[in-house]
Parts: sequence; structure tokens; C-alpha cells
Amino acid sequence: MSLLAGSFSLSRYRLDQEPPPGFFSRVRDLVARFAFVDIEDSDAEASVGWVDAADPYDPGFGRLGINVGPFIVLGLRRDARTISPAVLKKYTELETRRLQAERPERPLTTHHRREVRERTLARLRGRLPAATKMVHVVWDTDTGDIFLGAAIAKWRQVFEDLFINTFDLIPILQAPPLAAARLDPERDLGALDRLAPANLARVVGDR
Amino acid sequence: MDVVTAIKRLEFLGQEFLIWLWFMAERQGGVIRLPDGSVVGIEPINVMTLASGQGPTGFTVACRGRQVDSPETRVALQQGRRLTRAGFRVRTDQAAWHLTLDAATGALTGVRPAPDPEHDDDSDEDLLARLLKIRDLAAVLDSLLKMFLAIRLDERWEGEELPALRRWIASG
Repeated sequence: MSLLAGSFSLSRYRLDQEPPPGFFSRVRDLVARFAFVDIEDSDAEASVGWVDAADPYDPGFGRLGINVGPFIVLGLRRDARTISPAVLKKYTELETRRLQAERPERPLTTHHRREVRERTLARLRGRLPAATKMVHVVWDTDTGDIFLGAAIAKWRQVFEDLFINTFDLIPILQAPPLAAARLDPERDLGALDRLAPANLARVVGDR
Repeated sequence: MDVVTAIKRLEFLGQEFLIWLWFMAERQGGVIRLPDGSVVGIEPINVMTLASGQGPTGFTVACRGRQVDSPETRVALQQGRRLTRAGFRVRTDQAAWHLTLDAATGALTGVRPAPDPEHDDDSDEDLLARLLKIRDLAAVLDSLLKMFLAIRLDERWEGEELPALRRWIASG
């Protein structure tokens, strides 16, 4: 699913404050500092960064670039290696047995077992290719809306963390109560807080 | 008030907004005139999720297809079920969309262009045109939420809108 074509999901954000003067002229440099870094040659569990929205394998923004009219368009790429608990358990157990066989007179301590587990995890990660996923981020510089092309909490967390690290600005999810407070500035969240849920069931008397 | 607490405490606003949109779509024949004079087409489509209770003790029921407008759905609302997700076909000046709106987060899922005789086939549209349509959709949803909020915070809510909403639910 994609904001750029076909069907998509969408979470809406706005900043908690106006960007500083001259901010948008620095966006490209800020994004480049947090461009995606590959983990193919390491045993890292995951990597997150910005890529060209039209090409998840281009952290240089050479295909689409980042500006489309008044919109800043970015790809948010996350690569991850996921080792299932069952696989980790199996290979940790095999390695533990091998080590124990080398020193049958001395049982492995809890500390040793923990080290074996960590080493096994790193070894398995090194053997497993990282899976790549990408969602789009579109920042409408005219309206201040920031669209994340995903609706699940995990992607929202990844996006919020990377956005804050990159721009030193805080994106606020526009859940209905916050959107309502923004759309009607005369009534802030405190005013809305006086509302109680409507009782939709009662009909007789209508009160 | 802490923002996170406020969002949780006011989660019912999003749920009431979805019910009100469904109600307005039926009451006004699928056409809602926005405060700026523009007209938006709204039709409920085949996805709704109703929830009962809170947290681990709660459960959800997903309604699809003809179930959405069945008497059972409105009976569920009468019994205090909360509408947590609802599907709509939204037609603006610029495009028509199918989408599902989440009451808690305001997120949209399954957004896709809807077939519409009033708009050209735009499968080859350029990216800027598409992004402008997404901006337009966001603005329309904001306008609808603002309309709901104006009524919800007004005396008309208790005096007119809420009784009408209850009668509509009871008539299901």
C-alpha cells in the first residue's frame, strides 16, 4: 500500500510548534543525516532511515528527490531480521550442549548460558538476510499536515522516533479529540473535557 | 490536562463522530453541505466494527456487507456497543474514495479511489495531482469533524440532534 499509487492507509500528524525560520531550506540536509544505513554486512537486528520515496534502495534521493510541489515526500525504510523464539531456543540449546560436552565436570552458569544465547542470536542474525519494508511520509508545507502512509501503532512509533531525531520537532497524531481542539481554537482540550459520552440508547422523553 | 489522558478520556468523540456521519448520510440522502457551501457525498459502505466493554474484557464484532445496515447493527448501538471503525464512500469536488475511519486514532485504512462517473479515470495521474487529492480528502474530513463538533458543543445537540439520532438508531 502506498501514498504514491494504489490503495493506502493514512495516519495524520501535525507539529506541536511552528518550524523555525529557514527550516524548510535545511530539510534535505537534515534528512541526509538520517538516510537509511544498510545492515546487510552486519549482525544488527534492525535499521531505520529515510530513502527516496520512489525507490526503497536509494538513500541518496536520486530518483524522485524530496520535493513535489509544496509537499516533502520521503520513504521511511525499516530493515529487520526477526529470529523466531523457537529457532533461537533450538540453536541456543545445541550450542549449550556442545559447550557442556567440552567441560562435563563444570556445569554452565546462568551467566554463561546468557552469553551463549546472545552469541547464538548474533550468529543467526548474521546468517539471515534483513527484510525490507517501506512506508511513505508526505509533509504538506502549505497546510502543516504530515501524512504517514500506515495506520498501525508499530509504524507510528518508528515514524515518530525518526522524525524527532531528524528534525528536532515533535509530530502529534491527530486523533479526533486533538483534531477537534485544533479545528475549533476557541475550545481547547480543557473545554472538550467537560463533555460526557452521549447516551444513544434512550428514546422515550428524548432526554 | 495531559494530552494522552485527554485523548483517552475523549475517545468517545471519535465514536460519536462516526455514528453521526452514518446518521447524516442516511438523513440527508448521502449528501452533506459543508459550511463553505461545497457539497460532499457520504455513503456508509461495507465495513463497521462495534466494540463492547474496555480493555481485555471487551470484544469486537466486525460487520460486513449487508450486515452493516441490518437492524442488528443499530440494536447493538442501542445496547451500548461503540462504533470503533466505519467504512464510507466519500465524494468530494476532486475525487471519490472508499475508506475506513478509525474512531480512536483518526487513521484511515483501505483508502482507494472509488469508481465515480463524475470524475475521469485517473489511474495515470501525476504524483502532485494525487497528493493534492489526498490534501482535499483530509480537508473534507476536517470540515465534517468541525461540523459535528459545532453541533456537539451547541444547545442543538441535546435539544434536536441527539433526540433525532436516538430515534434513528431505534428505528433500525
